[in-house]
Amino acid sequence: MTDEHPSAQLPLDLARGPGMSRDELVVTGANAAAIALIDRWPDWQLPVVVLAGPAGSGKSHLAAIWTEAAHASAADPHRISPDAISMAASGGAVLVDGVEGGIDETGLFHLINSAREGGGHVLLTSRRFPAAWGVRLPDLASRLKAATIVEIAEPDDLLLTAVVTKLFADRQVQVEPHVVSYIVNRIERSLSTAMNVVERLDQAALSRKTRITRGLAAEIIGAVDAGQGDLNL
Amino acid sequence: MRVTLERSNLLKSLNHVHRVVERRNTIPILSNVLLKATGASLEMKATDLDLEMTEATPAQIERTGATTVPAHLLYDIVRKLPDGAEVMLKTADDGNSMTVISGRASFRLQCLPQSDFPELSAGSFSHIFRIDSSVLKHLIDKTQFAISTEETRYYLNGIYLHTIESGGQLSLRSVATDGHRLARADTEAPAGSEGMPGIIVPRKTVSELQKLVDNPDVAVTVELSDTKIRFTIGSVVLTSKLIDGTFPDYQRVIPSGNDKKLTIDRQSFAQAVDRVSTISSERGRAVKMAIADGQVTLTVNNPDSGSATEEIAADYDADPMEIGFNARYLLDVTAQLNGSDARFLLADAGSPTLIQDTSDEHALYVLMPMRV
Repeated sequence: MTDEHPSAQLPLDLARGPGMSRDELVVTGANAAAIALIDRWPDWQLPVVVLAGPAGSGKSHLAAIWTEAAHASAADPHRISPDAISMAASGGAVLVDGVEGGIDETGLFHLINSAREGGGHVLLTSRRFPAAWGVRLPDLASRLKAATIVEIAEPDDLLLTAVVTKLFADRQVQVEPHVVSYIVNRIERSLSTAMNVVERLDQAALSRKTRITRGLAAEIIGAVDAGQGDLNL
Repeated sequence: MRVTLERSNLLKSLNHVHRVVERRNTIPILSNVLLKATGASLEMKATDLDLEMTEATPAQIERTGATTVPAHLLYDIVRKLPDGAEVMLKTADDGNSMTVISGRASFRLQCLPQSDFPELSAGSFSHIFRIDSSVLKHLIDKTQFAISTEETRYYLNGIYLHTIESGGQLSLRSVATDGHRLARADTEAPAGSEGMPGIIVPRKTVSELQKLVDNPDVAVTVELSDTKIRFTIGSVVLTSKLIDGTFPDYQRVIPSGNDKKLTIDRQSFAQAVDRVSTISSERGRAVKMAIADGQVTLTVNNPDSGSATEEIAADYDADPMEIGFNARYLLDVTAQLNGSDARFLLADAGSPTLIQDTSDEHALYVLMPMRV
C-alpha cells in the first residue's frame, strides 16, 4: 500500500517487543475463563486444553505465561517432534501454538496419548475450534473431543481500550485518553487491527516527530481502512 | 546576611546557576536563587525541581545568613556592573529585602524566605567514579545533537549512559537518538562505574553539563543511583533526576552487514550538502545522493523553486546506488566528525546507514534515509 504522508523520513525501528508477562495481561469478560484456566495449571481436570479465539485475542500472550509457569517446550503443529512426545510422556508440558491446517495428525495423536499416560500437559492454541480443524484421523478427533476447550471471545470495548492503552505503554508513548477512545470507537473489533493501528501510529509519529493526536489517528485509521485487504483479519 | 565579593566571582557563579531557573514559573520560589553566606564563601543554589545546581565562591562574610532573590534579576544587575567592581549584598533586618550595592549604584530586591526553598533530596548513590572533563565532554558532544525534542517520547529526551563489555574491555557508553538518527560514543569505563545501572540523563541536564565541562583540566566526580545523578566539577555541584523510562534496544538498529563503503572528504561533502540544500524551501528536505564509481552526485529538487546538483569525488567501488537523507542530519553528523574523511557504510535506500569518523573509532552514527 502506498503511504503518502508528508514526511518521507524513515524512522529507526526502535519499538520494543510486546510485554508478555502475567502482570501485563488485561482481564475482561472476553478472556476471563481462559486466564482462570491458565492460572489454575497444574490443577487441570484434563491433560489437554485447547484455547480458541480470533487473531490477536491474546492466545500467544496466555501461551507465553503458561510456557513460563509450566517450563513447557514448544512443538510445531505441522511436525510434532519425538522430543515433544517423550517430554509429555515423562510428565512435562508441551505447547502447540497456532494449530490451523496441515496438522501432523499422527504426531499430535501420540503427543496427546503420551500426556494422558505419562501425566503430562498439552496446551493447543488455534483460531478455530478443533471440530473445524478438518482432522481425518478418527482416534485423534475423539481425543480432541475429550479435551477442555476454552473460548476467548471477540474483544469488548473495555478490553480493546485497555489493550490499546497497553500497546502504547509497551512503546512508552504517552497518548491522551480521548485519543484512545477515538481509536477504539473507529477501528474494527479485533485486536489485530488494534495492534496494526497502534504500530502505524507510533511509526508515523516517530517519522514526523509529532505527538499522537486525534488528527493523526484519523489519518492512520483511514489508511488502514483503505488497505484492509493487506490485513490478516 | 552581609557579604562583599568581587563582581567577577559573583557573575561567574550566577552565570552557571541562573540558567537552571526557568523564565516562567508558577511557583514563585523557583524563580529565585538561594544565597547562603557561611565561612568564607557565598553559596548559590538554583533548582527547577528536576535539576539543582550549587556553586560556592570566595567572599568576605561580615554577617552570615541566607535568603532568596529573583535569579535572572540579580544576574542582570551583576552583569551590568562595571568590571572589577566590588559588590555588597545586604539583607534588611526584617528579611523582606536585599540590597545590592556597588560603587554608587544600589538596588533593592524583594526576598522570599530561604526556608521555602525546595531541596532536591538526592538520597544515597550506588556508584561513584571520577572522569576527566575532556572525556565526559567527548561522550556528550558526540551524542547530544541526536537527543529527541518530542516531549511525548520522554524516554528519548536524554542521553543513555551505561557500561558495556566488548572484547573483554569494559566501556562507558553514551547513546542518543530521536528515532531518525542515532549517535554513540564510547570511552574506557572509569574505575567505580562497573555494574552501574543504565541511566537516561535529561536533555536540560546534559546541556548545562556541557557548558560546565569546557575546562579540560578538571576531573569530574560522578555519583549516581537508579533515579538521580550528581556531577561535582570544581566548586559546582549539579544534581539531577533521571528519566524514568526504558531506553530502546539501540543495538538492533546499528547495522553490522552494510558492505558498500563510501569514503569522502568531509569538508567538501558538508559544504556541497549545504550548498545544494539552499534550494529546498523548508528545512528537512531530502538530498539525494547518487553514488557511483569514484563519485557522488548530490541533488535537491524543489517543485516550487527549482533544483540543484553538485558532483564530488569519492572513494567507492560497490554497485551504484541512490539514497536520500535529510540535509540537516547530514550536516549535523559531519559536524561531529574530526577526521578529514567521512566514511559511510551503506546497504540500500531503505535501510539504516552507518557513518564513522575516520579519526575516532570510539564514535559512530546511524542515519535513516528519506524516500526520494
